[in-house]
Amino acid sequence: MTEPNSSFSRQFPTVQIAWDSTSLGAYKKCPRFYELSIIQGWQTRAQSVDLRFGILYHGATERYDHARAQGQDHQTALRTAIRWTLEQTWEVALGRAWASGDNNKNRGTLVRTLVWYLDQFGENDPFETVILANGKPAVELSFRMDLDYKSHLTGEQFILCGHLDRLANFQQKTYIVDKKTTRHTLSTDYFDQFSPDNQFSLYPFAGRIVYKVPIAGIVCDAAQVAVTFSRFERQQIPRSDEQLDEWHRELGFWLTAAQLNARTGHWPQNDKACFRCHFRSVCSKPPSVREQWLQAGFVKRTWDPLQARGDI
Amino acid sequence: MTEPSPLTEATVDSLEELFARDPLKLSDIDIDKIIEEQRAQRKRLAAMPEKTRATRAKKVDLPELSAGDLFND
Repeated sequence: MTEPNSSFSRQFPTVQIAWDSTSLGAYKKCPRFYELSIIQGWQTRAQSVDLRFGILYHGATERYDHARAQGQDHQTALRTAIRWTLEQTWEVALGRAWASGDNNKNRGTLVRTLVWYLDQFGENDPFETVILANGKPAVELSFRMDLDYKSHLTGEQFILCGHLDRLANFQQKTYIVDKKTTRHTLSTDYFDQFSPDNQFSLYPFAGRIVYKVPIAGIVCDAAQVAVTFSRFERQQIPRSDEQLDEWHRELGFWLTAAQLNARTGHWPQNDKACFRCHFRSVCSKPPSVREQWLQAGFVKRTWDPLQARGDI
Repeated sequence: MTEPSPLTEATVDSLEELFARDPLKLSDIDIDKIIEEQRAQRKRLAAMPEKTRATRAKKVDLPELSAGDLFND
């Protein structure tokens, strides 16, 4: 691991105790993918752009929501969000703007996407952000809950954690609204990918327990970021209590399996999950040269679910 | 070098110029100009007939495709 990761056991450093949708999803996809991306922290430069773009998009809309909750009008709140975005994408040391090297996801398309999104949904959003008891809008909510599963290796209780983008009321029901940015067309195929899907089960599962309000469902609030335009589409992703219970039961299996891998120190390839995998170029090489390929084509970061923000 | 004519209208900073400027030096009016330019761009796009809008072929990285991908079940 690159630096101490608070989500992992101190007794057994490859046993992850606090799981979020990104790390759990990585493990479910492929133990080797999990080892490389979460335990060792490798990511491609393109992933790095996606992550930064996603964090900035969330951060700017969060600032807009807070400004509106404080009584600012739409234009003033939008200006606050855009100013913040421009500042965050300015490389002070270099005296120039962030150069992502990406035609779709860059500083210009980020500002455009934010203005278009907030003009469309900022003022006239049929989904009304829940206002918490402290007067703050229910956006970028961190959650952490103890699971009823314990590590066989360390005795520590597993934790489920993450960040919900937004809780919003629509027609007298409360929904989790999850914002996504994508280069892909917002077709039926795009939304179909979320059923079944680890993140879109984990969030309503946690939401119904953590916030003690009946969560009617989760809504995918997607932004397509193309080179010359941005487009938005929302769709409810249905999950019944029965489905969420099934997801929770199966979570026990995945946590047990991950401990088996940690105990043996072996994270096998799921070689049926390699199509379009970022690590394909590495895993397709003999084991003895893989480290060199990682060093050459990837960058390191620490994915700590108890700290990290931003999904891609 | 010729002196700028006093009759020349003050030029409005282009979007490119505003984006290239340290954001701490941008006034509220500058930010509003950036916002307005995004809105104008949206209007221009909406006014264009569907067929003339830019479309982009899906990027395919050919060297990464293998026969296995083509016959993947």
